[in-house]
Order: sequence, then structure tokens, then C-alpha cells
Amino acid sequence: MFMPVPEVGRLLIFFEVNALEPIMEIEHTGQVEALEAICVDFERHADVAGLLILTCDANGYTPELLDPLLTSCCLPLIGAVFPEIIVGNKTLIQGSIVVGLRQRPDIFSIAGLSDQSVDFEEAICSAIPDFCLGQTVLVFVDAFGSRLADLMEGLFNNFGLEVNYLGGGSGSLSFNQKPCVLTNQGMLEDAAVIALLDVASGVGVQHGWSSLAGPYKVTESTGCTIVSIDWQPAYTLYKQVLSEQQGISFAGRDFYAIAQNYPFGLRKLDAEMVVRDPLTVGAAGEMTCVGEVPENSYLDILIGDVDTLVDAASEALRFALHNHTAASETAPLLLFDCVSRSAFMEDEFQRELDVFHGSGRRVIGALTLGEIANCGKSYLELFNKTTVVGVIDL
Amino acid sequence: MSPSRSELIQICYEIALAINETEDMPRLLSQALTMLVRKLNCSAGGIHLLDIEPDSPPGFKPPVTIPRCSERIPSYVEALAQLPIVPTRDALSFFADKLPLCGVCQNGDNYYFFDLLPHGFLLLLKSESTLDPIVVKELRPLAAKLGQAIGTCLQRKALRESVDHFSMVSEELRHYQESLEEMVEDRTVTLKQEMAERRIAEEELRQSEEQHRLFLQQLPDPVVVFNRQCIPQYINKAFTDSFGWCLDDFSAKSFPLLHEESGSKGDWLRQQIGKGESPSGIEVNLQNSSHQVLRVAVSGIMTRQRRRDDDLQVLVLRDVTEQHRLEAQLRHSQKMQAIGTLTGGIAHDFNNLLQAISGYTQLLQRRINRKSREGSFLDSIAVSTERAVDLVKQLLIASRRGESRLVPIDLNETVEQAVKLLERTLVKMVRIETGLQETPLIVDGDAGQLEQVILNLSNNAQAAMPNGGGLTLLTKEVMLEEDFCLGYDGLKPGAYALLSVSDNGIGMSSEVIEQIFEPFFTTKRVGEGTGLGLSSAYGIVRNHQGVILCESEPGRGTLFSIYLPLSAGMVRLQPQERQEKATAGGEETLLIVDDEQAIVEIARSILEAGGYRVIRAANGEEALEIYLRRKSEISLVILDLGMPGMGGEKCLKALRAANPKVRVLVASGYASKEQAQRVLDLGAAAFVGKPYRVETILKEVRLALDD
Repeated sequence: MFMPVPEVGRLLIFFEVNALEPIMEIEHTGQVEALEAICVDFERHADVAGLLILTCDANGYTPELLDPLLTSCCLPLIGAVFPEIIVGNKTLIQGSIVVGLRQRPDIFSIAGLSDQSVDFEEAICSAIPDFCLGQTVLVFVDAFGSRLADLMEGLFNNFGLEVNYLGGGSGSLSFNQKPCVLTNQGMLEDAAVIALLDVASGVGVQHGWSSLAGPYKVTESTGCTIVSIDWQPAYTLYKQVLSEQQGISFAGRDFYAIAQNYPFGLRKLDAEMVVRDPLTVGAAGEMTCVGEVPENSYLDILIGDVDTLVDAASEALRFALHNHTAASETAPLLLFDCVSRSAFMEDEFQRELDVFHGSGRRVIGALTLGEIANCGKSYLELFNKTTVVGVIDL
Repeated sequence: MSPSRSELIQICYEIALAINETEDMPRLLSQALTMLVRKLNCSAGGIHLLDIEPDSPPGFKPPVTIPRCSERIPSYVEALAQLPIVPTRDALSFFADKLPLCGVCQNGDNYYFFDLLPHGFLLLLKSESTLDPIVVKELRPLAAKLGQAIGTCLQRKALRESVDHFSMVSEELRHYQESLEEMVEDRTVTLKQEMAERRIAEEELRQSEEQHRLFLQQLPDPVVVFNRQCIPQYINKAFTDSFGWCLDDFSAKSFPLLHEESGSKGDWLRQQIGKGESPSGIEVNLQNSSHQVLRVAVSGIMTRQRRRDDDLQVLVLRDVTEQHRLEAQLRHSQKMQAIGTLTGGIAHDFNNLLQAISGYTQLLQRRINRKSREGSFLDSIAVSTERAVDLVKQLLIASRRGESRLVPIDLNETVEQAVKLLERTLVKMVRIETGLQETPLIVDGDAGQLEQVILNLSNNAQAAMPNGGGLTLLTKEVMLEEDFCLGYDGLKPGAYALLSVSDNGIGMSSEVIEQIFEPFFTTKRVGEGTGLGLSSAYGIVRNHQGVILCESEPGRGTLFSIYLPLSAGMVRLQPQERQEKATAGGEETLLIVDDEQAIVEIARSILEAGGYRVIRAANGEEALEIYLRRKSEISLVILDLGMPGMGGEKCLKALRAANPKVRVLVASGYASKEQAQRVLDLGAAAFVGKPYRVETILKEVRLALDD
């Protein structure tokens, strides 16, 4: 790269430009002490003004273990626990990614994601610092909070389209809700952590799923749980459709093993359907998804294959780069890919990772339980079974 | 990319449901706009409602936009530039007519205005793509439906506000009603308490007034309440009883009861009442309704009222007429007692002197020829001595130290005896009238003395009627009350015989009346009277345990009232005259006890002349010693009472102790009736007063020896 001969005072600037390589460490052991050592190093790092921590559920972190580290950290931090983390074209089931943020982020947390009495719009409004400069908003939520759509509305209504949203749902594949959001207050459960970063970004969102059957009317639902579809127990209709159209029988088989291949899709104009991934089925035939399914909405049962999904990942990457053409060459890709895509694609998921890795940029991210992003200049959504990728000047 | 028909229907359906979901305006707008922006994949949106405030120009205000800071979105702000610059009603109406309105911003974003008739418009901002015309067409009825829903919400809001207002007003009314009820209840309770307290206070006041009125009514002293104009406002019962006046009698009179004799004191009293001052410590003469004058002590209390003119003067009047009368009587009684003491003392000494003169005169008369010149001298001496003795006797009577022999007698008979004498002695111009009680009036009295009283009074009456007139003597039985008796020492309530002696002569002034019973006081010329007639009458009556009163006014005659206590049982007893024996003299041995040498010598001469042997003792102690030594030969002891040493009474007791059968004749020149009676009770045989005549002492000695 050509660099003009700088004056003494400008030399530092050039040095700064040359130092735009992301500051990050990958910890593979999952040990708290190792993570603490990295954090302490970053606290001492002159260029680090904040921390982004993506860590694995398999590390077994609990508030008792991790809170001393988090609460004693003198840098503002945002992070979450995911089923797996992504480094390059690999996924790790153990260890952590610690990114040193060059710009000091404004971070706040929102508690009570399942609390019906919380007005998220007002909570976020009152939590936003009086003066903040943000171009990108990182959002990690407890995936098992029941009012995630309301949180998305609150975010969008406060920040609008002035920022790019990037994030996902954290938690465990055990589907048991537990503390999984990392903040300076410690590990939080049923909470969200939000960081306003004054760095530019471009975001791409795609999933590659298409309608198998539908539309069907959601005749009764509560939050993330679909009670009935077309006036039938949700599971009854779901089984019937898959049986009739795919010859699939659920008898004696793991529900999620089948359901991860046939998610629901909520329609919106001029965009891909918003995917809702059914996780569990209840005794009364109600089906619980990652993310809310509004009552009286219409949904389709979707189907996909590895090729369309890989194509969608490529498309998402293209959108991201398109939306941030000024991104530096060293700007990494921050990838939040749905853990169920990984499960659905199995070994072929490597193809999707390779799509991002093939961009020549450093790739870090996580397999999430729901993805958060706005696609271009459209409404902010919590997605399932979707690839969200951002190119960001960390 | 055009949406499929079913896709459009689904989206519109979900939007329509969101519009219908709630009737709460903020929630309706928020949910509807969220659904529109979300389902139509818009980058921003807003609902702007017509804001018509009474005092401000019309305009649109966005109650909800997505995001909330829509003014920071340049394309959104650019789209709003389509609105009329001057938002008049016509301009807004013209703008509404153009809806739906679509356009493209400078950054390529597309804006869409939809009509929310008649309440405002919906603005949607879509980036990177446009809404299909079919979608826009389908959104118009949805926007209209949203407008209707907004209208419904507004109506409901207005209705709810009305209801809320009504409820609030009702609540306020209820609150006020409750407050009012509480206030009324509290006030009622307070009023009840106040009324109860007032009733109690009024009752207490009434009772107090009643008590005061009763107190005033029952007050023994007359009370009269005057206003500042000296008009009586209230009088109590005692006032009416005392003065006979009723309140109505004062209607046109200020102070009619003030007697003219009150003089300057009466004027002063009126002035005090008029000035609101309290008169006190004065005595005035008031007249009752019968025009009788009463002496009254006045004490005033001024009771202040709210208005000075309403002040009331309470006068407590005390009738001191009787008190004055009693005081006068007491003074008179004390004066008479003092005079009695004085005259008694003088009489005693005179008696001793007269005893010597009389005794020696009588002895000389026995030795000298009565027809000789010396005999005539002795007769003159004897006559003068007798007159002197009578004078002393009257003095003694006047001083209540005279000797009275009280026995039950009929007063009527005494009066009749006196009248017989008067008819012979009084001048014929004096007409004597009697009115005696038909039944006997038995009193313990000395008929002679009482007769003397009647004669004295009648003589005075004759003197008071130089031109003749009527002399009236009345007797009757009366009962004297305690009040009447208070002013007279020793006078006790009970049945009395009243003897009244009245004339219609010249009468006397009160100053004269006050002195008439004093010894030697007389209005007669020199030589016409001794000045001892009324004083001796006074002494006789008092010795009879009675009282003599005089009422007189100049020119209106004089009335003497003599009250004598009736004898117990009114039993007529025959007077027991002692059997007098002609025998005078004897041979017994007599012991004469007297400290006066002259008296002893005279008595010794008289008794030895009568044949008796006489032993002398100068005092009681010597007499007792002699008697104890020679009692067998001593037949009688002649004992004086007033002696130095043990005195006569003790000596008598000692003699009686030595010999209960001892005979004692008490001779004294000065002894009260009580004292004489006392020595008789101690066992004396008889009592003889000094100076005694030779015959008298010889007779009394003989009677005592023979008794």
C-alpha cells in the first residue's frame, strides 16, 4: 500500500491505519483462567477500549465461575454463550473468541425478556446514553426469552434504520434457559445485551428456504408457542402435511431431527419469509419455536436443501459486502449462522463456512439460536435458520 | 417483484386484524403501524393525525412513528415536505383529496401517503423497492379502515373521556356529597352537641336564674332592682311583705317609697342609682304602702350589662326599725339599770341614816311628853323622817330593789280597786272608762304596788289633760312572741295580762318619752311632782317580771301598756296574810348581828325596851362564835345581810348548819326581791326592811319567836 511520507504527527495515524487488523484471541480450552488471562491482557492493551466475547456452551461457564471475571473487568464488554463458535471456516464447540474493540462501545442490558410488563421501547430509550455515536448495533439475547419480537420492535423504534443490527440468540441446545448473556454485571438469564459501536458495517441476511406447503393460519398462539394452525393442534397439521407431502412419519423418531428440516415461514412483502424453527412439541400438540409467531398470522411449512442454503449464504455475503463497500480489506466477517442450519446441512455446512472463508476476510462468529439483523433498509427481524453476516470494521 | 394474490391477501388480512385488534388509540396506532412497516418491509412509517386545537392553527402531529426519531431520517423529512406549507383547513382538505400520494426521495426511497379520513394520513417509507400498485390499491381500504378505527377510538376516547369525566365528576360529586354528608353529619353532630350544650347551658342558666330568683325571692331582706332611670324592674317577696308595694305600683314612679324624712340621703340615693354607682352603708326612712315609716339600711350592687344604659342596680334593703327599737330599749334598760344601781346605793345609805334618826326619834317620843314643845319637835322630825323613808322606798322601787310581796292576784280586781280610788281623787273633768276582760287575769303580784302604778299613771294622765279628757283602763290577756320579748331583759314569751292606761291628753315627744322612766325626771312644775311616779311604776312592773311601754305623740294622747306574766295555771289564790299578833315584846335572848353601830344600838334600845335580852355581834364570824357558845339561851338571831367578812347569807347557812332549828330574822336596808326570797329559802323566819319602825320590829320579832 502506498503511503505518503507523513509528517511526524501524521505518522501515528498511518500507524493506526496499519493497525486496523482486528485485535482478537481465540481460546480453545474453555478454561475460565485462560479466558481471564486474555481479558487481562486486553485490559492492558492500549488499543482495546471494549471486549466482544463469543464463547461456547460446552465450556460450562456459570455465573459463579465467570461473574468474578466479568464484573471485575474494567472494559465495557458484550458477549454471549452459543452452542458453537465460528473461527475461519471451522466451528468450535469449546473455547472462546475475545475481540478487542478499538472504539469504546456504549453497552447496556435489558432484563426481563419474558416479562409481559416490560415496555422494551421505553426501557431501551431510557438506557441509551444521552449522547452516543453508533453505526452498528450488536445484539445478543437469551434465545429462550418469550418476547423477543417486542424487543426487536423496541430496538427498531428507537434506532430505526440509522444503524445496522447484528446479533443472535444465545443459549444451549439443551433448550433449557440459563444465564447466557455476558455483561459487566455478570452472566444474565432472560436478558439482552446491546452494544452501540461507532464503526461502519454492512449486513447480509438470507436463508434459502422455500415454501413446501401453505399458507396456513395460526389460529392460536402465545409468544413463541403455536397452539393451533387452521383450528387444529399445530403438531397434528404439521405431521399431516409432512406425512402427505413428504411421506414422513414421526413415529419413534426425534421430533427436532425431523422438524429442523421443515421450519415455518412467516410472509412479508418483498422479502424472504421470516423462518421460525420449531424446537419442541408439547403434550397438547403445541409447537414451540425460536421467536414469536403472532396469532392470526399466516405461515408456510418450508423446505430447503443444501444447495439453496449455500446459495443463500453466498447471497448474504454479497449483500453484506454490497452494503459496506467502504469496508477495509482487514475488516473481518462477523457471522451468525443458525445452529439448525448446521444440523440440517451436517457435513455440508462446511460448504457454507467456506463461502465466507473464501472471501479472504477473517471470519469469526457463532452458531446461534435465532439471528438478529435488518436486511438492508428493511424492518429489523429475529430470524431462524438464517445466515446473518456482517462485514464490520472492528 | 409482485406479490402473489394469496400472499397479498395474507398480508392485508394480518394488517387488517392488527387494525381491529384494539380500541386503545396509542396501542392501535402502534400495532397497526408496526404491522404495516413490518409486513410491507418498510424502512420507516408514521401516522399523522389532524390536530385541531381551539386556539392554534390546524396541523398534523405524529402520535407514532417508526422509528420514533423519524425526524432524523432525511427521506422521511423530505416526504413530509409534500404537506401544505400553510396548513389551513382548505389546504389540508386539498392535500387530503390528492391521497394516496406516492413519490421518490432524493436518496431513492419511496414514500406513500394514505388517507386516514378524516383524521390524518399514513406515511410509509420504503427503501430499495417500491410498493406494487396493487398493494397500494389494497392499502387504501386498509388505511380507510384504520381511519375509521381511529375515529372509533377517538369517539371512544371522547366517550371514555366523557365517561371518565362523568365518572370523575360523579366521583367528585360523590366525594363532595360524601364530604358534604360528612360535613353535614359532623356539623349535625356538632350542632347536636352545641344544642345539647346550649340546652344544658340554657338549663343551667335557667336553673341559675331560677336559683337566683328563688334566692332573691326567699331572701329575708327586701330586694328591689332598679334600672338607670330609677324605675324598679324587680322586687322580691320580702319587699312586698315588708313594704306592701307591688312592681306595678312603681310603673310611673321612680322611688315612691322614699319618705320625705329621708331628705338629702334620699336624693343621694337617687343620684347614685342614676350614675350607676352602688350605694352602700346608708340608712334611709322608707314608707310602706300603708304610709308607715320604716328605717331601712341600704346596700347596693351594680350588675353590668352589655350596654351601660342597661345596667341594673340591685338594692338590698334591711328593715332596721325593730333593731333600732331594740337598741333603744337596750340602751334604756341599761340606763335604767345604771340609775337603779345608783339610786339603790344611795337609798341604802340613806336607810341606815334614817333608821338612826327614826329610831332615836321614836325612843325620845316615848320619854318626852308628846304635847310638850319638844314633843312637837319630835313629831315634826318623825313626819319628815317618814317622808324621807317613803322617798327612799320609792327610789328603791324605781331601782327594782323595793320589797314586793308577790302572790297570785286578779289584776281586774286590782284595777277595780284603783278605779274606785281614782273616781274619788281625780278631777271630774277626767272621764274614767274601763274595759276589763271578763275572766280573771291572775298574776303573781303585789296588789298594793300595782294599784300604786295605776294611780301614778292616772295622775300623770290627769296632768296631761288640763282641760279634761278621757282616761281609759283596759285589761286583756295577750300572748307575747319571742320577737317582742327580745328587747326587754328577762321578758319571756308566753301569756301575759295587758293593762293599758291611755288618755287623750297633750301627749309627749319622743325625746320626752325616752326619759319618762328616769327617776326625778318630770315635766311638771316644781312642787307638783317628785319625778318618781313613772320610775317607781317602771320598777314595780319590772319587779313583777313585766314590762311597761309608752306610746305617745304630741297632741295625740298617751298610751301606757303594762304586760304582766300570767300566773301559772291562772289559779286564783287567796292572799295569805300572816296572822299578826298584838303581842309585842318578850323575855327571850336575841342576837343582833350588824356592822352598823347606830343600827345595833337603836335595835338594842327598842328590843330591850320590849323586854328582850340583847347580845350584839359586829359581823358574821363573831355571831357564829357567840351562837355556838350560847345557842341554848339565844332564841332568835336578827341578821343583817350586807356586812363585811362572811356576810349575812353565809352566816345564815352556818347557823343553820349548827342548828337547823335556829330562828333567824333577816333585816336589811337594801335587798332585792330575789335576795330576800333566797334567804327565806335558806331557812330565815322572815325578812324585814330597814329602816323599820319600833312596832314593826317588835311585831316581826314576836312573830318569828312564836312561829
